[in-house]
Amino acid sequence: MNTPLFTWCAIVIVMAVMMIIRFATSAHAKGATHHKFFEIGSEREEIFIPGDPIHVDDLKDCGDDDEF
Amino acid sequence: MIGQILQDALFAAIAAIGFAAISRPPRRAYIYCAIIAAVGHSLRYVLMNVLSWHVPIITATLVASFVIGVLAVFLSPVAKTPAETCLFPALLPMIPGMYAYKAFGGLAMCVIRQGREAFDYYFYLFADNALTCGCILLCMVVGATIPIFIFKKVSFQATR
Amino acid sequence: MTTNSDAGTPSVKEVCDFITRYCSWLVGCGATCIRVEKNVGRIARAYGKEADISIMPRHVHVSVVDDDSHESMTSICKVKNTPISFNINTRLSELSWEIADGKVDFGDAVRRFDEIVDNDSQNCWVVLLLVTLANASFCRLFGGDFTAMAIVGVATAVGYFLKLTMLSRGIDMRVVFIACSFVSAVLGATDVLFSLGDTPLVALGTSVLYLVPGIPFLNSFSDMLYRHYICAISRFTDAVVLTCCLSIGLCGGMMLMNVGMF
Repeated sequence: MNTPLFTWCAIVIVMAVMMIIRFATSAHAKGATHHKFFEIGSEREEIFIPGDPIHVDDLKDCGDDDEF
Repeated sequence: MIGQILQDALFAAIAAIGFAAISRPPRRAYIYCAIIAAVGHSLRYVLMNVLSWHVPIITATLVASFVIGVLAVFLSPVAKTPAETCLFPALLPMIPGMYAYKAFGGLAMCVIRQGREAFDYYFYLFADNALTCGCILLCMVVGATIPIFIFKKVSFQATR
Repeated sequence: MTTNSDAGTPSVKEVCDFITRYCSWLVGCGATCIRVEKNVGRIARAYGKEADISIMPRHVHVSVVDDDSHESMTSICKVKNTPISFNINTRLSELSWEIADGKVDFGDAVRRFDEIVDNDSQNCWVVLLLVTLANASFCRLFGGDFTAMAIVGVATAVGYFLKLTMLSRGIDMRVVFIACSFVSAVLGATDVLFSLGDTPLVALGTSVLYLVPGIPFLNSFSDMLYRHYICAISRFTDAVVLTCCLSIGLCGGMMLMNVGMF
């Protein structure tokens, strides 16, 4: 590989990696709540239909707390 | 021809806004910087390229920066900023950056290259670029400062 | 900060302290010496004092004398190490007129001053975008085609991003200039490397122009016209050193990309 092409590729790769790291870290720092890619939903979330009343007590009734 | 002049004015205005942003002017000053830079740079373009006798870059810069200075002095009270807040960012597109780094390039080549002929050539390039750069900068500031001297009261009371 | 309650005017010490801080910030944010002199004289006169200042490259020296009691005080302070900001310059100039016109009392003036210097934030990503567009436009002004403009835009955006990242880590300005101009020059040479467009050398030449320290150059020549020679020479030297660093990075990039400058 000739020097100019090698230099160009090296700079592009280094800068791309630097940008990705910078944006990833700033996104990580900004998000106060960390969203997991995979997580186990509660029984109530699975059967929830928009419009259902939301009561904290309902969650306890489902017994989710005991299971997880 | 008019299209080229307008294109020069447009790109000079964008350049002035962008380069001004580095030196953090107040938001209300951006539009005035852009207008002043567009007028000044397109005037220099006309003087250097459009007129039948092509004015040298140093003289053209002096005239253009004088006009920029006059505009800045009278627009800065409207923008409620000191004259140099509108003036210096508007001058930025005319800064002879290429001459400046070519002067250093010439100097570096003087040192690296062996032989008198090569040295003479690169020293000529260094001196030519450095002198042109220095003269353009001096003319820019002199041209732009003369209106501030002439209209001292207007320019120093702009933020009142 | 308190004022002399009986006279309603601040003491010499209070005015001297305030003017010293004011000068330190105004010189640091890139105001010309004549601007600093005018503003300081205006503030001092508003409080019945006379002020003389001496602006050195890294320090300001302020001497305040009371017109009536002839009590005097001298103070010296480091110039604030802050980026050039015409916003602070404008707002501090406004403050000087408000003080001169009696619109704010001394306590309010000090509070206003603190507020001005504390609230000078700027969205760096907006600046990055504007600088990118500006340098691409600059490439057009030098006769570059649209391919050259696009390449200069990318080279500028990446170089400016690197500048922000390195400066936020407190790296020396000169090292930052060498690194940024090197990266921008290598990316600006994309035209040359892959034979794109018709104006590859314009793209390469204009890719680093966003780093040219234009304001320090203009300030130095302005100070020279007003016979502030020491300040003029120090600002000129700063600008020349930065231009030299820019050229080192550019020459390095050009050498590795096998392109000659002349």
